[in-house]
Amino acid sequence: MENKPLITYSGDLAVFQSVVPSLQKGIGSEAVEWKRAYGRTTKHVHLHPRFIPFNQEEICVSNVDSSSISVPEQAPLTTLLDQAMLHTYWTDCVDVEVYRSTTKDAIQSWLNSVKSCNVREWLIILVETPDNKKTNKLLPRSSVLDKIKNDFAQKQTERCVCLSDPQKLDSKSAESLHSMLHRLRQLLLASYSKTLTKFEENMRAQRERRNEAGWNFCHYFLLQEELAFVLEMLGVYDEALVQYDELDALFTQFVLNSHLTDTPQWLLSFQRYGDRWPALSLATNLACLSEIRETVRNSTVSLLNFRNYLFARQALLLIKQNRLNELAQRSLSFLHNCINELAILDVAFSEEGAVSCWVFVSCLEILSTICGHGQTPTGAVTSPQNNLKSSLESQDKGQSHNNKQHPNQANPQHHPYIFMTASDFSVHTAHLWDYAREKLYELGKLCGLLPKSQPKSDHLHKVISLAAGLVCFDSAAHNSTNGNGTTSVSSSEGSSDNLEEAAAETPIEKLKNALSSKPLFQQYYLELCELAMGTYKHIGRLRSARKVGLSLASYYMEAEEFNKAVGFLVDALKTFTNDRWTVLVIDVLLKLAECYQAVGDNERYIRTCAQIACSKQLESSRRNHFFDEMMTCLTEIEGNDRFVISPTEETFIINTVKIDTLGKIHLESCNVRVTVDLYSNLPRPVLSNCVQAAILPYDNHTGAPSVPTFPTCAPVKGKGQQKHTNKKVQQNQGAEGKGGARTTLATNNENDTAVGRHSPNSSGDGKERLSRKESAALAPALTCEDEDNLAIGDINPSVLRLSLMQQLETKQDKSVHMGRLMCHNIHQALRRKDSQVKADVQVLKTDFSQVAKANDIIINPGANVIVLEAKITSPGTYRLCQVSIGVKNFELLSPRMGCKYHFDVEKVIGKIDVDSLESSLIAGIEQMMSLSLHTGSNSIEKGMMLYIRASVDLQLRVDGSSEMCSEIAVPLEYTGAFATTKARFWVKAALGPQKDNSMIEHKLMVRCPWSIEETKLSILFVPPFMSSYKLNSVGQRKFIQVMLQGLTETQFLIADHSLSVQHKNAENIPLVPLNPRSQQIKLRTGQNVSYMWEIGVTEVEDDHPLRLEFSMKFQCENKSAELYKYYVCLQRFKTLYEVKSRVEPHKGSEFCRVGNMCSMFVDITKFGSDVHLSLMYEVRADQHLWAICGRSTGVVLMEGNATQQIVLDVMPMSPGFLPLPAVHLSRYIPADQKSGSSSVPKLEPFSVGQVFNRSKASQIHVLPPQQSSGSTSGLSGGSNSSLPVVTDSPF
Amino acid sequence: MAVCVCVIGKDNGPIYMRSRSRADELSQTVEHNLSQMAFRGVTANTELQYNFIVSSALDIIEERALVGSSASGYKGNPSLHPSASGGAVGSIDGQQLATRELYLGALTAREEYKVYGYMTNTKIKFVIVIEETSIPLRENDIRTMFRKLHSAFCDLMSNPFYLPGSSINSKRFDAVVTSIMSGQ
Amino acid sequence: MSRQSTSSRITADSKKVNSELFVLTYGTLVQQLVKDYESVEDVNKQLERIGYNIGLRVIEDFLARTNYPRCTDLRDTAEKIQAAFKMYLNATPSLSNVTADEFSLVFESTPFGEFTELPDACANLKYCNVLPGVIRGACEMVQMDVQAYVIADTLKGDNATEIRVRFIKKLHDALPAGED
Repeated sequence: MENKPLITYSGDLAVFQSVVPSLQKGIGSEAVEWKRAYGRTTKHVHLHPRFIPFNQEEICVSNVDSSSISVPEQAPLTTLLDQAMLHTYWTDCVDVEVYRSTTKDAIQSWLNSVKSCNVREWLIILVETPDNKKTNKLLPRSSVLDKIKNDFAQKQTERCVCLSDPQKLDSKSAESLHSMLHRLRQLLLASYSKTLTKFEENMRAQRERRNEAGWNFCHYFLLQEELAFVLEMLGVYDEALVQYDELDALFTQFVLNSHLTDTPQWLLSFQRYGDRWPALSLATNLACLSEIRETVRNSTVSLLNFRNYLFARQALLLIKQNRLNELAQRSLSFLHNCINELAILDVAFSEEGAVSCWVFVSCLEILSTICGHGQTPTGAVTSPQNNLKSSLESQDKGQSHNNKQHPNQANPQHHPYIFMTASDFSVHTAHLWDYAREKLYELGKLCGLLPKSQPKSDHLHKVISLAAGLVCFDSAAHNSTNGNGTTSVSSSEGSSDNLEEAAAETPIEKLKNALSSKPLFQQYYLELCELAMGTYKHIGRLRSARKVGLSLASYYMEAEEFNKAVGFLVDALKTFTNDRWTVLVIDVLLKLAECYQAVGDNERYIRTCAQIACSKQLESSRRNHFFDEMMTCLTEIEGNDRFVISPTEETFIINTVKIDTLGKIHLESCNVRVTVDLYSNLPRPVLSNCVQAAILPYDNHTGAPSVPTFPTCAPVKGKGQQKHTNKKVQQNQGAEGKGGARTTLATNNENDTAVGRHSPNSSGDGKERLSRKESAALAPALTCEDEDNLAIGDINPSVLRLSLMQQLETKQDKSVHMGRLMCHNIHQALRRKDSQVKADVQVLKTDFSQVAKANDIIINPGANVIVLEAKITSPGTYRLCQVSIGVKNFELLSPRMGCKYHFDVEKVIGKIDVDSLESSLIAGIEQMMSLSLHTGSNSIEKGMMLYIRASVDLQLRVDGSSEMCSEIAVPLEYTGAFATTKARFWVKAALGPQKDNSMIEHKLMVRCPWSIEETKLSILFVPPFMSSYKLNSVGQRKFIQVMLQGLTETQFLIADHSLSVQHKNAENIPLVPLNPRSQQIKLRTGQNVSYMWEIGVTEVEDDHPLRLEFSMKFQCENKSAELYKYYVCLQRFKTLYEVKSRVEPHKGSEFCRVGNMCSMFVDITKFGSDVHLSLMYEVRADQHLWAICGRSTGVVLMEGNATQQIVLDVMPMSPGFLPLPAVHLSRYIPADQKSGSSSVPKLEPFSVGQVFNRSKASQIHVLPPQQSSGSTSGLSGGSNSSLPVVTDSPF
Repeated sequence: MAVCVCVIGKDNGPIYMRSRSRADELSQTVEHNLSQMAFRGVTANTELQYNFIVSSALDIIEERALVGSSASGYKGNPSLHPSASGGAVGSIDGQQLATRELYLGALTAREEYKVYGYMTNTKIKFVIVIEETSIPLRENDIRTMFRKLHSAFCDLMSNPFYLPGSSINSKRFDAVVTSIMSGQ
Repeated sequence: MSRQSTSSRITADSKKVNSELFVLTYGTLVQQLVKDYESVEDVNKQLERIGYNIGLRVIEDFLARTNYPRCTDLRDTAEKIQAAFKMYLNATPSLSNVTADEFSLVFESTPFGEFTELPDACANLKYCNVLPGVIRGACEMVQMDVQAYVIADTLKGDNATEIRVRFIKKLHDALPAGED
């Protein structure tokens, strides 16, 4: 039955009956504001009172028995629910007479009896009906009401109301009804406030006495619960809850204190031996609750029951306020607290595991309730799909695989759970699931349902007695179950079908089924595990999930389904390794090892053994044991070509890697030695049959202009102007093909990218790798940047580089209307930590075709230094990519090393060039020169030859051999690579007649031992000297002068000069040397030598050219003398004419004066016979010196007479000794000559020596102008006679 | 009664672990030296248990460190938005973290013990496992425990010979921990 | 957090350096030395040398601030050194078994060593070996050739840290002008 506020009625029942329907529906229609005492917040409450006839006995029964307690009247209230909170009196008397006669007394007596109740709120309603209204309208209607008022309620007139005929539906009556209802509510609440205040006072008083003897918590509990009930009834749930929480706290306090102080009497009942373990039921099943309340009343309640009851009530109130989250939050602590209390009060149970039963059932009960309400739209549930997705997603490899094993787990039945766990209180439910799981496991253990144990009879007894003890309440089991069943469904109204499906099986039944048989137990247990795990993962509590996973794994291990266990173990391993939580890691590893061994998975077993053997936390005996295991296992698999691959990390730590190499290819290969300093964690020394480091070409430069990468959440600087989006994109990918490939590589799994981007040399040994492929994933040709990125990514995904790409979309008019950034490796950046595919074996083995290796090395525990050797044949830049350490068939691979260690290997071709000597080579003499050979990558063996061909006029001689030739082979001595050797040999450049100081260039064709083609070297020779000649004539005599000019620093001794005529017919021409024959002259740069011969002219036929050969010997110190020849060719050099000119002043004046006209006489004398008769003369002079007056040019005929004289006037322009004006002669060929010659006259110059100018260089003294004549007269006289003075003479 | 004290480094690895195992209750504590530990007998297993407990407590520590603090390295389920999870953690925790307190309060509870957490601003986490007994410790007692621990840790860091982040192996620190565990 | 353990020592005087900082600095110095030198003995030597150099300088300052008269005997010297410790380190060593040519400065705890715990590796590291150096250096500047060495160290479990100082000879060669 539901509690309602009670209102009594009395007086005219008929009247009341007529009104009651409108009352019933009217009164609760609107909320009333409830003002509270103690400044509590005012609440709005709806009242749904029940009307009961006023009957003094039963209403005041409390009063009666309360009167027995000390205070006869004003007894403290002990109950509230059965209290009538308002007394009403109904009458319709309108006649004052009648009123006076009867009604008044009736009311009076009623009031008196009301006064005797402990709730004294009353209200008198005067109902007016139309029929009684029309009678005697002489009296004012109101008078009766007035009378009632001043009879009974002078002060409180509001206690009398008048209700005008309710049957009528006019506004007036409605209004009056309304006001009446209002009054009614007000009074009712007022009375509640008053009563509650009183009640609370009493309650507090009671609580104060809680430490007195004889005080009973149970009674107090009932007392306060009354209050709670009322509040609940009035819909003030939160305050109702507060009441229960207070009680809860109070009780806990008692329990905690129980063993400090001596236990109060009442507590003993809670402490009594439990042969039942009633399940918690959150059902709003009043029957059950009241049952418990009964036990509380006669204080025979058991702790569990009490707690169940209390929590059920709290839960109910929470649910009513829709505070499921809080319910979820409280529930775990409730269970714990409860168990704690059981422990403190040491409540003994008839069956071990009873508590576990209770916990398990309670957990499920709570969960189903929460989830039930969580399903209702009000419950904040994120949409099921997501949650399903997330929770499935949260189930990683191991578990989903495990799902496949158990189709019965994947059935839709527990999806509802997953949905619910997804709602926002799954944080709390997770623990509950886990808790339930544990308990179930305990029970399973007790009842021998675990895989290992065989169920025996006592186990069976256990199950039965546990089940027996497990009741809904301390009442007959039957009504409990069905009651429970029905209610739990009803409790979850508005839930989805599968919820009901889930709830159809009550927790108790669930437990009973679970304990009924082994397979069923397994199913339930696994289901719970999964739920717990799923929920944990969903709320991101990985470690907790792993913990569950581990216990599941150990369950599987017990069940000897090792390969199922493995999955969970591996996951756990990952998590713990991420945390570097070694203790746990080791624990898991040990389990793993057990599994692998059982499964016979050698590879993994070996790996795990290695890891364990390397874990320092373990004591050495165990480590050694696993080390031996590993070795024995290895020897077993030694035969086949399978290779167990595993990362080095735990086993060997590579501290430093040092590369030393010349970096240059020596002959055909370049030695690289890699010194690896590694630290072995193995407990014992181990023989590695091969340690090698992969050497890959350093591909960094290609990767350089890659997709612009930014660290996560770094500002993106736009990559400038882009015309069209699509174009741009392909541009990008085109331009940075590597970059693009890179991102795909990073995101997709490596294998297919490996196919895509295979470096040529790695494809070379494809077969070789395929043989071991099953254990080693194909190695993609990662650029070292990739590896660095990956490395970073492993450390911390959040610093992983996002490869962002800008996309601009442009409108027709080329204006950007949209830009976006695309991230290529989202998957990488946003992937969940736990689902990282960092599988145990995923160390990619790179291409080990080119390695630095060392064989059969014993690696001791602790630090080791291993030296690896490699020979690089082709030039390039290389990097160390990975180190692999092979122990038998166990291959440990280091992580990729990225770009850290790289080195260059270059091939240098040999070079040869001419040594620069201290002094330059000199032509004409034999001297040593040397070529220097830079071997580069090649080397020169002893006895190799350097072949040299010389250009013409260049003589070569190998040291030692006598004769010079133009082609030699110089022997070379041994020379290593990158060294320089010299090839020395003699050269002599022929020295021809040297007219100028220009260098003489020669070429050497050199063939080096390491190459076939010749290299052409050019060498320059300086001529030792240059020679020139000059023809001098005096009158008819001819002299030839040969001049040598030294050009080199080195000094030459010159001797045996001679001049000889060359051709026969002229041998008789005498050449008279003017130098002493045996003259020896030293010559060097800046010095000249001249030789002079007179040529006997007479024998010369002038027309034939006269060839003369000058020759002499020259030698620089301690060299053999060399011959130098120089040729002179003379022709038409005999003197034909002689010119003699003089200047004389005009008659009458002694001297030549400036400005005075003088006359110049030119005598032309002819020697021999010349066919040409007419000469042309020309007188030229510097016009500052002379002004030529008269004919400066003219033609003279030279026939007959030998001499012609020309006279012309000249005027000196400046004083001093002036050179005479120069006279030039040339042949004149007149125009009118024999035919053939042109019509114009023409001039022919004479060749050198044909005209001898006697007065060349003669001077005349010119005096300054007149006025200063006297002063100069003296010396001009002497000078005048003495002329001409010939200055230019060889003598 | 503190039964286990653990110091967890930045990278979530334990750098100090000391626990009193159920087997030998009376204040005689099992030295748990991380650098050399043995798996044997009851003690070891309870050791392991404590390790598990603390490790799973890390989950909650992370959660709470996450809420309020800008969730930089959030590694949890992406579908569970940090703020949402904050809501899930519940009002108590929410307000606790709003005031950026080092003390993280009770992390997990089980029948027989409660786990409390504390995180320094340098992301060093202290976890203390309190055994459920009849005399429950008050919040303040626990705070003081942590404060003692923190101060001891500061002194440890000041020791020039202690390499930060390495596993703690110090008599003074041990002494403090002992005093904490023996409950004065 | 505010360190109850240390807050008391944090001096208000802004001109003084926070002793905690000083202690840390010294600690780091020592630890670096330990890292750099393979043998602990060398570290001790280094510390002593450092101290010696400090001593050479600090004596000037000390005498300048406190214009103490010339010491009459060793005890006098000892007390002055004591005063110097108070003045510079705010540490008050007590003098013990003072003889004609020897005395001990006893600290109840090793100076600069409040946080330090010696690892087993450097069990015989003389953590505060700077101090003997300082004393030696300082004394040398006032023509006293003394020998100072740590003979007990709380870091090694002794219940006090004791620096023993032995007087060897007066340095007559380096007498300043005006002497006798």
